[in-house]
Amino acid sequence: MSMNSIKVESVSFRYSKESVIENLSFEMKKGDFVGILGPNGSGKTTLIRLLLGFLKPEKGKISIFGKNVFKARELIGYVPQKLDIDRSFPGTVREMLELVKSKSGNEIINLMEINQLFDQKFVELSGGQQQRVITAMSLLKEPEILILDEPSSGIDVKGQTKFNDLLSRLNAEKGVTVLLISHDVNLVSKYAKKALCVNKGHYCFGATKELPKFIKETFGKDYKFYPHYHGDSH
Amino acid sequence: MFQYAFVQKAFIAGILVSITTALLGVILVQKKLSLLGDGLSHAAFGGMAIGLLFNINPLLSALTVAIIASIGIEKILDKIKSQGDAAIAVILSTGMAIAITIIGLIRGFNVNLFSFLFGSILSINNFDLMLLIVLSVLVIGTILIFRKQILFLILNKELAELNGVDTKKINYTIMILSALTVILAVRAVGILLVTGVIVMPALAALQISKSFSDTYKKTIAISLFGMVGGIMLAILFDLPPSGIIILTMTAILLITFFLKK
Repeated sequence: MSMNSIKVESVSFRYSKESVIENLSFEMKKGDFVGILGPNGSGKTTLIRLLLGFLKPEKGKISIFGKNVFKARELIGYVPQKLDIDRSFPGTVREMLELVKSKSGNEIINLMEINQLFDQKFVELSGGQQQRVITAMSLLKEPEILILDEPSSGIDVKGQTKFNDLLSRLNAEKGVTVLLISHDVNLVSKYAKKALCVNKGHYCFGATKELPKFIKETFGKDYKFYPHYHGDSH
Repeated sequence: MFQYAFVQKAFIAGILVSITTALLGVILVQKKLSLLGDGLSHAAFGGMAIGLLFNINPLLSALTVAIIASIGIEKILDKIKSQGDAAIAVILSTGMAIAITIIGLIRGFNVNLFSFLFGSILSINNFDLMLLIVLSVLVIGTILIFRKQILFLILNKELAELNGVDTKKINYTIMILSALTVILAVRAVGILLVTGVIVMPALAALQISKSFSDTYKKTIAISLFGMVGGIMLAILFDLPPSGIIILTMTAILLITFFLKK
């Protein structure tokens, strides 16, 4: 039996009076690629913040490789939706990568195809290149789990495809567990092995093949999408 | 001009203030806290008034109040999140209110208090110079030690925390360093212009720098040039140093805007 990488047991969370997550349970195995789908305000980002230990569940328990989330932070790589910097940020790719204590520098840098970008300012890169640099920063500490919060937002289609293909390779070749938040049903159905649909207290979790059923149950029967299932194009 | 002791002291003080404000300026501009110096200097003004009222060295009372104010700003920031300008406004007004009330109590505007408003780098005494040396070493040393953690925090607070950076400790460190730097700079350019020496060299360097470390180096160079050049011009033409220092820095900033085009 493969080991649980993430175990969420009956977790609830509310911001003052508004309940955002209610009694959510799911388990991810090592090497899983899970896509989290849900509309704005459905609790996707709150769930990520709970997994990273930036928020504390009101009820329930979260464990990562059997450890409490704070003790498991070493094992997690996180790619935020955006950084806190603006166009005036002068840092280069090299300066950013040097911030992370690297265990396997060159391999990750080659995989993310950023070796030519070292001396460029981060803010002068394209959206796709920036996303690959942030992901490389997260991967340098060789995490067991990679959590990405809508990494493709603001990136052109070509950049998105390249980035998502890299994620797929990372999952398949390195066995990194991937948890990807997205608005894009097609992206999740094409790349993820499993999906978690989230909509304010309604949840469905399972293989991406069941996405049409999950979507009807969580988002309503009028929600339309045209999926590629995982494995169709790989 | 260098044969006079007061000129020598002014240049030593100017060099120390330049390096310290340059390093801090890069951090504050990148953390979108450019007006922090303004808030802290006004709080320090209240502290100076307290010092004059109770016959304590005004720089020491200002230093104490500025440190308390810096911690206060971080506490307010933590409470109201993201509204840095509002937190600074609260501390700025409170500090100024204390100063105005005390000025009323001591019936009139003390000459010393006036010199803190507009700066008086040419009248720095030995005690002030010793205090400047100690504070500069403390600020420069701390920034050098924590430079990587500070850069990580500027990039993204959550990423920094996940990589083992104690972001709360670094935020408070930056605040206290800002308080110390403001006290250093107030003696040179005065409360009303302190933000200029902190922000303008960093802003100018950002227009022409190639990396984060290059920004630090260019900010120090611009700050030194503005400060030393400003003091020399002020002595040569018998003009107020604080005004000339800031005008020199404004000219450099305009040139860098032009160079960027």
